[in-house]
Amino acid sequence: MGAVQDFVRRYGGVMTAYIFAGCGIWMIGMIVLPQLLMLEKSLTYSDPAASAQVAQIQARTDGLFVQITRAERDIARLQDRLSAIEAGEADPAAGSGAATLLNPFASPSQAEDAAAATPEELRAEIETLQARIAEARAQIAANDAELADSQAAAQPQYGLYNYEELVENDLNRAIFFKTIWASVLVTFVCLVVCYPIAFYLAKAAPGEQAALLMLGLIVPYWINEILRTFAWLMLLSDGGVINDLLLWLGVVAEPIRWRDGSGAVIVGMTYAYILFMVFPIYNTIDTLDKNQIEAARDLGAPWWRIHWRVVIPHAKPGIAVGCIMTFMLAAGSYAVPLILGGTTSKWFTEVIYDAFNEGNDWGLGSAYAFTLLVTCILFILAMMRLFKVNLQDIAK
Amino acid sequence: MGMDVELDRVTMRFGDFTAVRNADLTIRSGEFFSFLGPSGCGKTTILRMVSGFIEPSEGFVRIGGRDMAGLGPNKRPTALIFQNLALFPLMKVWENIAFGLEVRGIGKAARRKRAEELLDLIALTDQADKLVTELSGGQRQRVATARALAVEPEVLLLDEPLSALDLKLRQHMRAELRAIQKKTGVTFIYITHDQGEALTMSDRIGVMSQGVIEQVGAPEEVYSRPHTAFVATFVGENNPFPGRVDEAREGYAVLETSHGRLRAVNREGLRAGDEASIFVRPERCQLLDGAETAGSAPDNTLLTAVERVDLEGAYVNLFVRGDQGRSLIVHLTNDRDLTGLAPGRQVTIGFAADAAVALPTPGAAAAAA
Ligand SMILES: Nc1ncnc2c1ncn2[C@@H]1O[C@H](COP(=O)(O)OP(=O)(O)OP(=O)(O)O)[C@@H](O)[C@H]1O
Ligand SMILES: [Mg+2]
Repeated sequence: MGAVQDFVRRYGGVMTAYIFAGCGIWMIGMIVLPQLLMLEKSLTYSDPAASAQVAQIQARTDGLFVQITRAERDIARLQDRLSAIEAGEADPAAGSGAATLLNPFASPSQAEDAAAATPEELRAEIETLQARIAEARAQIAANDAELADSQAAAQPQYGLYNYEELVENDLNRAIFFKTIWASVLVTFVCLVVCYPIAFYLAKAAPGEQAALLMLGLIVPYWINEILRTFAWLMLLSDGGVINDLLLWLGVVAEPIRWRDGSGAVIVGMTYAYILFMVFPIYNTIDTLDKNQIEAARDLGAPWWRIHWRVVIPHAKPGIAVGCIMTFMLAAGSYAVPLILGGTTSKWFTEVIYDAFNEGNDWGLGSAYAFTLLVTCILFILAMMRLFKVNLQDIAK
Repeated sequence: MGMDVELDRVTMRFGDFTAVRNADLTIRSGEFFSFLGPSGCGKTTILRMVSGFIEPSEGFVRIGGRDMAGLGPNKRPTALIFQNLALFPLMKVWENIAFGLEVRGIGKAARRKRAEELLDLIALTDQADKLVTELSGGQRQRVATARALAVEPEVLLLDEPLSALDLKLRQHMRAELRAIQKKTGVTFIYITHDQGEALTMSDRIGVMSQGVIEQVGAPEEVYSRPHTAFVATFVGENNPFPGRVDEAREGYAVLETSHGRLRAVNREGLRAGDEASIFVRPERCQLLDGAETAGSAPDNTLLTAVERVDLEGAYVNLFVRGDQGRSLIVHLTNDRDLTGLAPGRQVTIGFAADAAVALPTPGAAAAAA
């Protein structure tokens, strides 16, 4: 309680309430609830075979009820006739004929009516029908028992079925691993491209040049991501600018198919996420005392050792943040692989989208999405482990 | 033994701005040499030219007789201790010290051993595995020294290495650095804007002003025989008497000043009519009690009024002011009764011509040239 009082003292009541409400809403509304809902969805499934069976049994039972109704009607009519005969009334066939005419769908038993004239025959007929009804009743009872089982089986249930689906579905599993692997690759390429840029910006570039370079990095981000990606499509497609140029120069005989495989997607993503890598690294290198670089040089270190021993250790939190952001963005990217990917370079996000939207299977979609999320979190933890940084370093 | 460092007519320009102008001197091997000057006078620039971070616009830097042109800082036999030390905060103390050895491909065990030897030298024996951030200012200063010494430089360059320390520690570290220099025999080039530091530590001092080395000499030489007005005022305290030379004869000059005609040594070849100033140290001034005979009276006497008296302990700072002159300081030893020196009281101050020096006024000399 002391902590709360401390808070109130420092920020005042309204501010404290605001901070707590804000944090609470954010935690519950943005983090806990959606994840729990998704987790719950991903763990529920209903067995499609069982559902089909339920429907089948219900249809059968319906059929039996129709039969019973008919048989009961026939029995009633036969009994009418029987009582008429017993009363000595004549022309029973006339009434029967009218009934036949009135009901063209009459059961075959009615056709027999005309022939069956004697009361004994009628009685026998009635008995047969009653036996049939009893049989149908028994059948329905059996069906009901079976239905209960099937319905129980068709209930939405908790289980790992949706996750098993991912394990068993060779195609989707392959796409999943390829997505992770390609995202790692994007992250690595981004890091290799961005570290020198960040270092140059922070330590080497004279002021004016640094400002221009920074502007050059930021300006493309004023354009919508989709448009930027389409620009890459124009560059990389079979009839695109690069291929035209190469063909014209005679470097290649036929267009290079950049979009087969993941090449184009990786290029497009590296471009799309460069800033998210450059800025965290730039920020950390910017805080490095230039004298430390000079001290290392003065002590005889060649440039690579200066980076290895002085700059990179200092920039580690920035590198970790950049890698985490780039990886998350790449693994969760939808537009870039959709636009730049060829037929063989589907991204896992597309699979998730399909599950939700086309398969209309929210359970499966959630399971896929949750698997991706957990993998990303594991990746973050692995990165933090690898770079030996903790949350506080990153928060800086 | 360290190497000598020769600055051969070295000039450094940054654009239109000349940070160092025609520096020409030789620092002897094994010498403790200080560059003394106010902030922004180009001291760091000289050091960076010697260590190889910048190349002179004109002239040559030679170390051990070898021209250093085109050699980067990692190729020169120098080590630099930075103004802010620039220790590596992510490395342990011993790794900091051994960094230069690591660069030279020396194995870990040997590095550690050498680092521990150096830690002994700087009296930090058990601190090898601490982080530098866990050390005190003085300890960090020593680690920086050890790190620079680890690569066995011929010349150690120190850029105001004590400026971040408090006074007590600074005085202690002065003695320590001096001892290390004696022990290792490395040539030390030391930068400071603190004249006390330069005077106590150095074999020789180069006094700098606005990119120009005004005077090079041993501490007592620089102190007692300044060549320029700047050196006279920057090194130690001095009472200036600006005026015009009236007559110059037999190594002495007589100046007409606002305090009257004053006589002083003329070592800089002043001639009658030159703009010049006479400088006299506060400890060379005497308080006259009127009992002097004509024969024993000093060459120069001034009638002044007491402004105030500051007790410093062993001596006293007496502030006096002439009729239309400026405030002067006189150091008096605290061995007599000074209670009579109440503010406003008339006193006569005197100094010998041999205790004062006449030097050209800088602006006037430039105008004449
Ligand atoms: N790279 C540079 N570009 C432009 N001007 C510079 C550069 N380095 C130094 N200067 C200028 O040269 C002059 C001398 O600088 P320097 O750093 O040598 O001074 P310093 O004597 O070391 O001063 P301090 O005691 O404050 O460290 C300064 O006026 C400074 O502005
Ligand atoms: Mg400096």
